[in-house]
Amino acid sequence: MSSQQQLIKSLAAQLKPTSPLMNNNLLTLLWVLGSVLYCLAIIHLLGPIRDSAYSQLLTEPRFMLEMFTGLTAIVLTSVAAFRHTVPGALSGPVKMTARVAVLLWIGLNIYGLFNPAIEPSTEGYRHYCVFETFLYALPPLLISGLLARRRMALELTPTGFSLGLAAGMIPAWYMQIACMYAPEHMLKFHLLPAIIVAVLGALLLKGIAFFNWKKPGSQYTPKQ
Amino acid sequence: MTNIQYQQDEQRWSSLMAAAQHGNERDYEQLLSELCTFIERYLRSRIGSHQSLNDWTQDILIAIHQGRHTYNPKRAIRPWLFAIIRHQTIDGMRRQSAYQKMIERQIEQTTCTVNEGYGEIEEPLIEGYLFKALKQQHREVLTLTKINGLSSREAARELGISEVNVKVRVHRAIKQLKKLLESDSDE
Repeated sequence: MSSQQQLIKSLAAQLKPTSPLMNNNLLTLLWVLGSVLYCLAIIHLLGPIRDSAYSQLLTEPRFMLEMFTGLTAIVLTSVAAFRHTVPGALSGPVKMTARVAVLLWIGLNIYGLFNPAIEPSTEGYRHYCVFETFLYALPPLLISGLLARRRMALELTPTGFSLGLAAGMIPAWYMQIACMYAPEHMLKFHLLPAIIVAVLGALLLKGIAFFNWKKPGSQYTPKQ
Repeated sequence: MTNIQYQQDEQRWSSLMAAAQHGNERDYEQLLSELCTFIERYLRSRIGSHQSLNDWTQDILIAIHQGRHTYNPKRAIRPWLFAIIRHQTIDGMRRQSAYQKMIERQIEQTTCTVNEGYGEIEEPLIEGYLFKALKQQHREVLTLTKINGLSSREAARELGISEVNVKVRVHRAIKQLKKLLESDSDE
């Protein structure tokens, strides 16, 4: 019997039934909803919200566009990230659309440096917004890591980065409403922590893989 | 492969995998046996006959086993399968290169001699049509470093270019190979 036949016999022996994975889109929806609600709640509970923010949303179309693009970027990045945890589930167009949405959101904020959507001011300034953005993103990141653990991410770094970016962008996005409005402040103190969380996400998945991950070829020992 | 056979394979593998997810050992064994032949043939035609082909095939089978719960029987099996094959093949190449380097370092440490004569390119590799599709300079550098196991410095000496240039070429070659595997499996 060849070594491959032995391996096949060994893999098929005492095969246990597997439980099906939750639908990708449903999982993403639940995670995004849960994370957004959690971030909104904690930001409201632990600090003041800029008074004029909601009226600006209704009266300033470009501010509305920035917020809408940010939310789209979060949803699309989450969709791409969770699809990345199942082999072959992430298509090129979805990946590309998510990237474009993130770049568009960042691009709008960079454009805001020269031509702000609303008059920049220090109204609503939160002293520790940079730390808040970073810390509030950690629970959604950890939950996404746990959810991904049950799945099979082949490319750990991009998957972890996407999960981290999605988690980091949620508080960064809502800080546009909660904290002061100034594109430079947004890029430095809200978006930068989100990118750090993204890097942390990549490290997290690598870390999980290092300790106990179902990475192909890392755990299986054929029966003798 | 005709379109009908393609469809038949697709349906059969999909239903065999669905049965395997319910714990059917016989169906699973049949599926793995069929996939084993398919993967070997696939890799041989793309990459060429290579000493590690069996190891890579076994790695792919193990990955399929570990990730069988992630396959959704309502969807086509090929995108799922090819994602695993692509990843494991590239990963296998990288791991093999790292393993060879480790062995070489150990040999060098124990014998204190410099290994020479790595320069010959393994002929069977040239058979694989994906390798043929790579640029000449990419093919050379990939064969020297990833297959023959030369270090970047040794490959640089062999090719008469800088070490940095070797690293850049290897990076680009792997990226190109990955793209070729992707486009090939999409067809």
